[in-house]
Amino acid sequence: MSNSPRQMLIIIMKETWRRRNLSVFLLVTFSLSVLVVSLNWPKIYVSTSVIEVDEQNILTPLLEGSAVATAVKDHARNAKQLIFSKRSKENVLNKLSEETEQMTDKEKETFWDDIQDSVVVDSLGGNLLEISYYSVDPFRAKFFAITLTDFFITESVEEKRRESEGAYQFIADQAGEYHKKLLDSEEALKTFRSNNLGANPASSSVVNDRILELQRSIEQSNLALNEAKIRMENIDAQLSGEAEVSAHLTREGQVQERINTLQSNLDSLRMTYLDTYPDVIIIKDQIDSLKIQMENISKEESTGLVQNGRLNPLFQQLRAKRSKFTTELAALETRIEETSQLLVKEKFRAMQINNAVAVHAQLTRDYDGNQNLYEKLLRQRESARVSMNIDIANQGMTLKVKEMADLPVSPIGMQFMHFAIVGIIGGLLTPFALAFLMSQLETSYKSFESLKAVRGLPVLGSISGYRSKRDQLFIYMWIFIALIIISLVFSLYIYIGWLKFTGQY
Amino acid sequence: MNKIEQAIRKMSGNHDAFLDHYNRAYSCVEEIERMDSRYNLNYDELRRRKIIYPAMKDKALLNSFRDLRTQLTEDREKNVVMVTSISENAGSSFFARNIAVATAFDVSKTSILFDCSITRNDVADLFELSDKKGVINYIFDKEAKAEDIIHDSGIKRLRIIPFGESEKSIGEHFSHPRFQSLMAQLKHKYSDRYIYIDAPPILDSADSHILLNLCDQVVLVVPYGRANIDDIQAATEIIGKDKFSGVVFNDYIR
Repeated sequence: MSNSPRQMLIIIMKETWRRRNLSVFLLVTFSLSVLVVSLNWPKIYVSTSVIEVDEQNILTPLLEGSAVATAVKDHARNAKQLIFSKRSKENVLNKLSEETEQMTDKEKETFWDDIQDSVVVDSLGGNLLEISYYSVDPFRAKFFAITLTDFFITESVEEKRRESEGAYQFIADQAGEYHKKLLDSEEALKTFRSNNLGANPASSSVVNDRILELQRSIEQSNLALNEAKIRMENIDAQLSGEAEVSAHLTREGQVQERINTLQSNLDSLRMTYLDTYPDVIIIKDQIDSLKIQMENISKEESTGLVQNGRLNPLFQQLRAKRSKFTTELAALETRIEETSQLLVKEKFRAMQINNAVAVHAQLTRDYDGNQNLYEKLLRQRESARVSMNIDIANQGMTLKVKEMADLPVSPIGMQFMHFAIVGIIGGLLTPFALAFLMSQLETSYKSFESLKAVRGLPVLGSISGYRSKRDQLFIYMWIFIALIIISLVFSLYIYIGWLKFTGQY
Repeated sequence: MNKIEQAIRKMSGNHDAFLDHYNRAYSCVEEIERMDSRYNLNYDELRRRKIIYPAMKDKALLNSFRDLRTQLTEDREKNVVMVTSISENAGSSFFARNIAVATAFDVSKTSILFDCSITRNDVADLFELSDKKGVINYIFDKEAKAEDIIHDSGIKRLRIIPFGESEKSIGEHFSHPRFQSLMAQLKHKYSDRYIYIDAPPILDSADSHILLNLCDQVVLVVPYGRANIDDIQAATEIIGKDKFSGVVFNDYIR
C-alpha cells in the first residue's frame, strides 16, 4: 500500500479523527506528564571559572637553543589531576570542617567522590581552562568552583615556583661545571704557552723566511763553488802548459837556431855547388864554430857558473791565482756545509712550531667553546634567578583567572520553557504520530485509491459519511469539550510559566 | 410457461397466488404512481434517518449514490441486489437504505429495501415499522401474503420489508421454502422494481451464504480501515465471480 504524501496526510488526519478520544487522552497525558517531569526536574546550577594558562614552560625561554624543553602538558588533565589530588581533598574537607567533622572515613570518601563527579575540567581550546562545578545548590556550586580554582592556582603557582627553582638550580649547576671546565682549559693553555714560548704563528713565518734565506744562500754558494771549480780547472790547464823556467829562449837556443838556419842554407848550396865551393866551405866553418860555441855554452851551464835562464813570470802569476782560488773554494764548501746544517735545524724548528700551533689551536678552541657556553649559562642563570625571584614573589604567575566562578542565577539544562515547548508541541504531535504509526502498521484499506489498486477487484465506488443533525451536534460538542480540555492543559502550562516568570514558584 | 415459472411454482406451491402476482407484472408507470406514499417524510426526518434526498447539501454523497445506482440498475433482470459487508457496522445498512432510495429517485423505477440483517432491526426502527409484520412473520405465518409485509416507507416508490419479530425466529429462515417463494414473487412482481437485501456481514454469517443463492447481484461494503486484503479475498471467494458486482468503499469514520 503505497500512498502519495497527500493521501498519507489525509489518512493521518482520518486516523487521528478515528481515534479522537484516544488522541485527546494522549495529548493530555503527554502534556501533563511533561509538566510533572518539568516540575520535578532537578535544577542543576553550574558555576564556572575560566583560567588562562601560559603554554610556555619556564625552562623553554631560559634554555632556548641550549636544551630541549619538556613537552607541553595537557592542561586539562593536569588540572584535573591536581584538583582530584589528595591534597585537594584535604583542602576541601578542611574548609568544610563543620560539615565533615562527624564523618567517618568512608563517608568522607563518598563525599569526595560526589564532589569529583560534580567537577568538570575542560579545555576551552587555546590556553583557556574551564573548571565547572555542578550542584543543585547554586551557593554550593559557587563555593566549590572557587575553592577548587583557588587550590588549583595556588598549587600550580607553587609547582611553578618549584619548577623555576629547579631550573635555576640546574642552570647554576651547569654553569659551575662549565666554569670548572673553563678553568681547566685555561690552565692547559697557559702551561702549553709557557712550554712553547716561540711557538706561535708569527714565529713560524719568521722560521719559514729564514729557511728560504738559507736555501737561497746554499744555492748561491753552490753556484759560486761551481764557478770556482771551473776556474781552478782552467788555471790548472794553463799551469801544465807553462814551463816553470823559460830556458829555451836562452843563448843555447839562439845558437841552435843559427845552426839550423845555416844547415838549411848549406843543404840548398850543396844541391848546386860542390863542397869546394867557397860558400859551402864558409858555411861549414860557420856551423862548426857555432857547434863549438854550443859546446861551450853547455859546459858553462853544467857548471852553473853562468846563469843564463830565469823563472817564468806567467807561471808565477798563475800559481798565485790558483792558491787564492783554492782558499776560496775551501771557504765556499765550508759555508755550504754550515748553511745546510742550519737549514736542517730550521726545518726541525718549523715542524715543532707547526705542531705547537696545532695543539695551541685546539686548546684555544676548547677554551673558547667553554667560555662561550659558560658565558651563556651565566646569562641564563641570571634569567633563571630573575624568574625564580619573580615566581617567589608571585609576580610571574602564568595562570590568570579570566573569569572567577560566581553565583549562578539560573539553572542549566532544561528550562520550563523547553518543557513547555516539548509538552505542548509534543502533546499536539503525539496523536498524529500514533496515527502515522498505526497507518504504517495496519494493513487495512484506508483510501478508495488503495482499494482500487487491488488487482482483479471490481470497485463500484465510494461513499462518505452522512451526518444527521444529531451527529453534527455531537461532533460539535465533542470538539468543544476536547478544546476545553486541551486549553485547560495548556493554560496550566501558561499559569505555571507565569508563576515561574514572576518568581512565585 | 417458462422454466422460471415452473421453478417458482414448484417452490411456492401456490400457483394461483403466483399467477395473480405474475399477471400484474410488466405494469406501467401509472401503477407505480399509484404506489405513492400515504405520507412523505420531510427533509429533517430524512436527515435524521440518514436518508439522502435530491435537495440535500452533500451533493458528493448524493452523486456517488446516484452513480452507484446507475451501475447496479444496468441490467433489469438482475434486480435482486444483496448488500453485504466485510464486518459488522460497516455501513451496509446505510448503503442498502440509500441505494434503495437512490433507485427510487427514478420515477420509472421502484425499489424495496428488504431487511435481512437478522440481529439488527434498525430498518423497522428507522421507518417506524416496529409493530408491522416482517419477513419472519411471513415465513411462519402460512396465511400471510406478500403484500402484508411490504410497507410504505414514506418515500415515493420505496417500499420496506422489515425483518419482523417472531417467537419462532430461530435458525434457518432463509432456506425456508416460503422465503424462497417470497423472493420469487418479489423479483417478478414488477418490472423496474429493484430489491435491495440488507444482508448480514458475509464473513460472519452463514445466512448471507444462503441469501447469495437467491440474489442476482452482490455488493460488498468495505469499511474504512477495517478490512485488509485477506478479508476482501475471503469475501470475494465466498461470493463468487458471477454475482459479484463489486465493492463499495465506505469512507465514513464514526
